[in-house]
Amino acid sequence: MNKWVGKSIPLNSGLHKATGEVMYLDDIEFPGMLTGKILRSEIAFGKILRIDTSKALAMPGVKAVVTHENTSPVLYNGLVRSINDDWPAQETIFNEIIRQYGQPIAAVAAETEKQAVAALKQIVVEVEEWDPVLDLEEAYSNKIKVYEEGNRLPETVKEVGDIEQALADADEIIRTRLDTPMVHHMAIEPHVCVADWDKEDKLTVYVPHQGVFGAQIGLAKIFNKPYSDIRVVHSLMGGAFGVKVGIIIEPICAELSKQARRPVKIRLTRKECMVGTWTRHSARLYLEAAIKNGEIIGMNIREYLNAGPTCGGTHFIPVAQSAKLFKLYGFPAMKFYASPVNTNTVQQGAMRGFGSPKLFTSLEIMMDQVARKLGVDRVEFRQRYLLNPYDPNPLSEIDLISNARSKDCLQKGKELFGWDEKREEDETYWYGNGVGMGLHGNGVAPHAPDITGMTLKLNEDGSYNLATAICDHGGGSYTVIAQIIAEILSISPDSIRIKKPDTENTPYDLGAYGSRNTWVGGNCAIEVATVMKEKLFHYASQYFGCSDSELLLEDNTFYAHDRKESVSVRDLNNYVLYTFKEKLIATEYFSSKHNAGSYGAHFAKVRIHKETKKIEVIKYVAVADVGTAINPKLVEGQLQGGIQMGLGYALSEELLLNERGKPLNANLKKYHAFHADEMPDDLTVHILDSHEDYGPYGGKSIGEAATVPVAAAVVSAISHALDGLLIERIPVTSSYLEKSLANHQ
Amino acid sequence: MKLKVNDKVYDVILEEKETLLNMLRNQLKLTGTKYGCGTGDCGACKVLIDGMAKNSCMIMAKDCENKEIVTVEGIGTAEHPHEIQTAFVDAGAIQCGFCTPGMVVSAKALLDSNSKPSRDEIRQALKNNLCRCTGYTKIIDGVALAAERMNDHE
Repeated sequence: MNKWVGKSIPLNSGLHKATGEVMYLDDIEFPGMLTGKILRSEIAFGKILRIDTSKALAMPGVKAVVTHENTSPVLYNGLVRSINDDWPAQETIFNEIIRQYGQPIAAVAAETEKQAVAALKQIVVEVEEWDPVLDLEEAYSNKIKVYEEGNRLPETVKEVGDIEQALADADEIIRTRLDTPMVHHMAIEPHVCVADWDKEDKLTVYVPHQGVFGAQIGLAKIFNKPYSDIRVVHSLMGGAFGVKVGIIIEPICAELSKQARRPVKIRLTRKECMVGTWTRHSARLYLEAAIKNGEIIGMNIREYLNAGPTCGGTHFIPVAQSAKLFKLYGFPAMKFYASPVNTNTVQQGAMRGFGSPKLFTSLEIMMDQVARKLGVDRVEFRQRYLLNPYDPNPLSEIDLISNARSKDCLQKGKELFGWDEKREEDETYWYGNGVGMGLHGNGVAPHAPDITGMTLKLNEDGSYNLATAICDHGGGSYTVIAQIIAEILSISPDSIRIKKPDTENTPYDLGAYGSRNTWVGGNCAIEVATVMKEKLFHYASQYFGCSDSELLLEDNTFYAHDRKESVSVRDLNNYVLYTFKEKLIATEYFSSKHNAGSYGAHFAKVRIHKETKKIEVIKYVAVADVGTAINPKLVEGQLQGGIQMGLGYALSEELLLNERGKPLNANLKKYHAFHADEMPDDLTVHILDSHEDYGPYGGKSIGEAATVPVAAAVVSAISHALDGLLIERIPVTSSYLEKSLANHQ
Repeated sequence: MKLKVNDKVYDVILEEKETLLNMLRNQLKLTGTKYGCGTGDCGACKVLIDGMAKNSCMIMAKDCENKEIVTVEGIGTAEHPHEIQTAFVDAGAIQCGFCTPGMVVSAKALLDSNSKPSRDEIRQALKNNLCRCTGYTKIIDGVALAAERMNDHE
């Protein structure tokens, strides 16, 4: 029986967050700190002909003005995760060629924010504007080139079986397409960074960051400095969702600090977060299902994926997508082709789900269309094709299907939801029921080295410090890690204080993305705590003069000789320190060899107003296969948050650009995410009772998986309400519905 | 001018067009109140002004003379937390925590005027506070739990 694992203990630092006493980076002032502000492009494509900063430099309080003329020209890819990654490098800190609206053109550091803003207005910029390329297939055609060498980035092709043969053998081919939007992450904490290029030429960057070691790689390359002179320190994270990875404002902040020789803070405005960081990749997907004798014999998927002006990690999205795609349904043949392209939209990048939400939404739309065509219940139809636990993965021998419980999720969801294919209607509304399946992974293995390290130190009073470069986005990774260590060492999770990521003071970690924290971090926590426990047992047996097997560790105390004698870990530590001159400390690295899917089956009921076409989600059920829930309440929180994000993806969230690439709704009034009063009150999240072989205590991820099936379920319900209407874009807005219903008739 | 915040009167120097948010954060160092959007759309900067939850990014500091301002720091501290704050912790209403001060302020304004709100009344009271982590469910649970505990103590 576990004492801590499986328990819903409250979130680490929760009370201090509730009282506003925790410090985020923007709450902290550094001695001598300047404020940095960025001047951004008002055009999407063109060239800077002239830039004059002389007036700005002469403004009161201004300490530095930087542009492409006086900063590092090094080409880099801010998303690389290893010093050897050979990813397309298309970024520079500044560039005379403008490739997106909002691209930084110059930046100022001044004593006050007001002075910095005033100085920005004095920078004179002359630009030549060119016609941008915004559409994905137009970009693919290379008619307008974002770069001389063309717009196509490295593509991905994965095939199982013979799709050409399947399409040739088919009685019927069903075709669908789906356009998916650019989505703002909307972490409530805006991007913020403090760079301190000190007088000894060392650069320290403070930033709420998902992967400090990744940021160090990019900064070292840009500034041509040894890693030993670049320190990246994580600050408390006010939400990330994938957009606090890599380097975005860090290089500008560092340049300003380098030139001013003072610490500089840049905190973006909300609008800058929306247009000057990145959004979820927009995409267009085409699907073909080959049908023969009432069954799917082949599925062909072609995706155009928007990178925006620079590659970043976009070319890796389809690699990740394909790793999930082949783990859900088993069709005799399936092909996935994806072409990422550069465009002049705002920059695109990682966001919760890393390509899975769009892919599974498109696939699930197809599953609905085929089931409807064949006259089969949509849930039953999916059950036919879902893989069973321990089926082989047709793509990989190490990327395991293992205990994939998607079928059980679907069955449980069906029961909890009260699934019914019958359509309801009253005078005012159409009603529809929908289902969506999907999964996300656990870490980045086997596609990249998936490594993390932890150092656990026993203090003289019996408390522990853990150093890890894994960051807690806010979802509770540190709580989970503390629960695991507490379980093994028989202590309270409160007695473990976790030191935040710092390239100089915490062991290496790849980065807190790819739903790695529970899977890789949890396993590493087991290893480091186990090594510590072995050391404790070793010394306790010497202390008592007995064997390990005669010892009992309970509540941070060792008992021996049938509980007749005891020593607290505090006193044992003292004994070890002064007798053996050893400080009890353990450092362990864990490298994940396997991946597993975290599955979800989501069900939604919508009602659509017949006049206004307003769509409301009135009931929602999500069932998740996360293996063992190490902290069930935190898992529920992830699911509920993932559903909020998914509902916006399905129904309301989209960053819109005009035909010149200029954003139309870059504020939180016009860009609409779901508010508290719009969430379905009838919302059930259910955690399937399960166990994953390679997971820590049988647990696996939920952070990203939570949001993957949501849009699929909602679109399925909308389509059901409207007699099978084929949805070809998300978000499904009232005006889109109006238009497609008119075309449908 | 003088500004009354959390029962304390401060002498402050007004800058031109200074928002209450900037005044609180920069001059009074009350950093529990957050900048999230600057356009009055996210609620991270909410404070109580004469008992009403208001977005401090949309209010000029100069307009707050002779008003009672309460920030999250004035509602409770970790040492002496308000029941809303402990209920948020117990209900799992907090994840990254960045929207939390604004949520606590909105909840306080609600419970001060309505000690037994329905779930729907809670949803309405929180509808101008954005959260990206929780999906709101557990925040609504937290407010309901706080109301229940506060009523039990009366």
